[in-house]
Amino acid sequence: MEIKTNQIGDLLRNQIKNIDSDIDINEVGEVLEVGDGVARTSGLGNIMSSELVEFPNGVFGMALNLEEENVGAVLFGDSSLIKEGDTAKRTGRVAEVPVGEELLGRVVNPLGQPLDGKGPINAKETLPIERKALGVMSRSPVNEPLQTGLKAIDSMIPIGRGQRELIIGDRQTGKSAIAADTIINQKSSHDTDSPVHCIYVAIGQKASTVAKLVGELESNGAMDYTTVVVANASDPAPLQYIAPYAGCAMGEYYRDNGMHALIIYDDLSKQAVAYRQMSLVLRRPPGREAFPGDVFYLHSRLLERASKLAKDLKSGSLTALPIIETQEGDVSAYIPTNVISITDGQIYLNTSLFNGGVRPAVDVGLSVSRVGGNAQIKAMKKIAGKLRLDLAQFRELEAFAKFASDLDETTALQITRGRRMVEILKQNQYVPMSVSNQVVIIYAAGKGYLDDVDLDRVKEFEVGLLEYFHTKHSDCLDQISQEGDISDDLEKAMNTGIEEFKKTF
Amino acid sequence: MKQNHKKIKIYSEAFCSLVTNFQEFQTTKIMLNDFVVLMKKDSTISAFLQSKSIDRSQKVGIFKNALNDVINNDLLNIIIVMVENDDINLLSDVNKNFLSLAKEKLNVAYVEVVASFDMADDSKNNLLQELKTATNKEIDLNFSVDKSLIGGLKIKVDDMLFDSSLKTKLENAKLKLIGV
Repeated sequence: MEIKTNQIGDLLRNQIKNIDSDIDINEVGEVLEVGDGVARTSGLGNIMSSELVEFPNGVFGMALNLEEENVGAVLFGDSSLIKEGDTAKRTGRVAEVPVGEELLGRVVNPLGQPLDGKGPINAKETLPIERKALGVMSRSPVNEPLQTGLKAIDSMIPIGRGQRELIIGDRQTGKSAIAADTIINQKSSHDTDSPVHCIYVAIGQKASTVAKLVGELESNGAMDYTTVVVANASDPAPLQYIAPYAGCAMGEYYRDNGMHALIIYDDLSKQAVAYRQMSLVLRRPPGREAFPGDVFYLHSRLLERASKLAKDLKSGSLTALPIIETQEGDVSAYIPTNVISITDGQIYLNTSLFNGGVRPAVDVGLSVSRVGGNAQIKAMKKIAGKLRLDLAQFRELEAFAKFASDLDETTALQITRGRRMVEILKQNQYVPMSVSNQVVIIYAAGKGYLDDVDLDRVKEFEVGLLEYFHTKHSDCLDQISQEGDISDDLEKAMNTGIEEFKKTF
Repeated sequence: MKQNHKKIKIYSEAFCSLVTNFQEFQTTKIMLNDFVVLMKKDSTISAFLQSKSIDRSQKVGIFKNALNDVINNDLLNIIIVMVENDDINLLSDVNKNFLSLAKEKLNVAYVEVVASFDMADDSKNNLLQELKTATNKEIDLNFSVDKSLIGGLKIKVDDMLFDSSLKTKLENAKLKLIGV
């Protein structure tokens, strides 16, 4: 292609003509010292807390420590580009990010700048990353379900829109997988009148892991309604620190406009570590596990922003699924206990269950949802009411059964059913299931229709039964999803359907 | 560190109490500034002041003899107290603190003008008058030349920077063109 120098020259000249020729007026300070991602500056007497500061070479920072003699600003860019004596300019803006539907399908950094090479984001609105959580009067109780598409969770640890449900477990137990499945499952909500938009905040993860997840979301068509906010392990600690707040601001846009959003913080342990690093270099006094004194507030003010709004505020919601990684299953460490106490329940993932092939490896005994039960559909409530207890009893009996060879009939039946229940609750990754399908299969297992099915054929039975219902009894499935309840007639129809299928199995 | 902070405050307040008008401020500022530069750059003086083998009274005597007729008595006395207390190494910080205290006391604005060329005296005077009118303060003016500005001026009044340099305009243009 011929390069038209004249044309380029004209274009540039036109652009330069349009540039504001006014004098640049700024309040400035001088960099006194810089290092470890923190710059200390003199001057900047009128700076606000959390205000963005501009340094040379396009590096931005955020003023955090406003001291008598100097201002400590954390840097969002390469600190080696700044030297002592450089000018630091006030911007007059607190850190903010673009928000809106223009961000859907995009991968951005915590400053809202695109990382996916799909061009600039032409968002019309911005919101400050730090916003005060709404007060009591603006909220309403959680009353709408948020389906994860995972049988084990939707039945026993239901999540409601506006809830904060912690996903906690050791490394490699499938925490991110639950988050990804939940995002993929929201696709079905986009066929309804209350779609759920998703924000996935990746903090301190390997870039390759994030790329893989984005690929999976794309191949499942989930990126159309998802924004991914990334602060990789190689990014400066301040970026990792602000990433959840930036993602939360993006989610609040949907909530405040009467829409629904789901935000996943993957994970807050790494954010706490980044905050610890920042606090130590800012010379804030260290406390337990060297975390600063306000590490509880770090997470509480973030998670408190997830909420279900009152009717007069358009009933929008922001559901938060924070993830915390434990070390050797220690849930009593500082950060896990903090976040457990803040959230409305936790999904605890167990390494031994995971290694034993139970995936998702949800530990029913340690997992709880404090408010989600109110949001669960009646049909699921009816069939899952006893499921949790049955499973707990099964786990207890199973331990005994390992030592005893002769078991009475009731115990043997409980163990048989329990084993099938566990098998039913297993689910492959990236295959979320609709709530009507979940109801049918859990109902069948709970009623004992699977008791005489070989354990290794349970999966086959499940697939076959659902296929059968979709072809022959789709009215049952429609009725469950529309009415959300199991009437006597529907129960009869379901029994008939299951029995018919069993004859052919 | 905290102890030094206290000492710096006391010495700078002492220097500040000596200045009652802009003229005295300018004289004291220049003298202190020269002293700081001398201590930093002249290795003989620096070694003499930091030497532990030379008696403090000997140091004081040398100071008195050398500077008695050169600088104001009150000023010299404060410096001698600093030498006696072995605090003369704090002079640079004391100078900084003195400047900010005196500026506040005498309503003086510190103005730094950076130009891409050496300005004529007339222009400097005009600028000084304009700044006095604009700020309604006495102006402590400092000129310097930085050819990298290409054209225009940078005027820093205390913490406010008024930048009309071509260099900054081009940098802003660059940012606009790349869409940052």
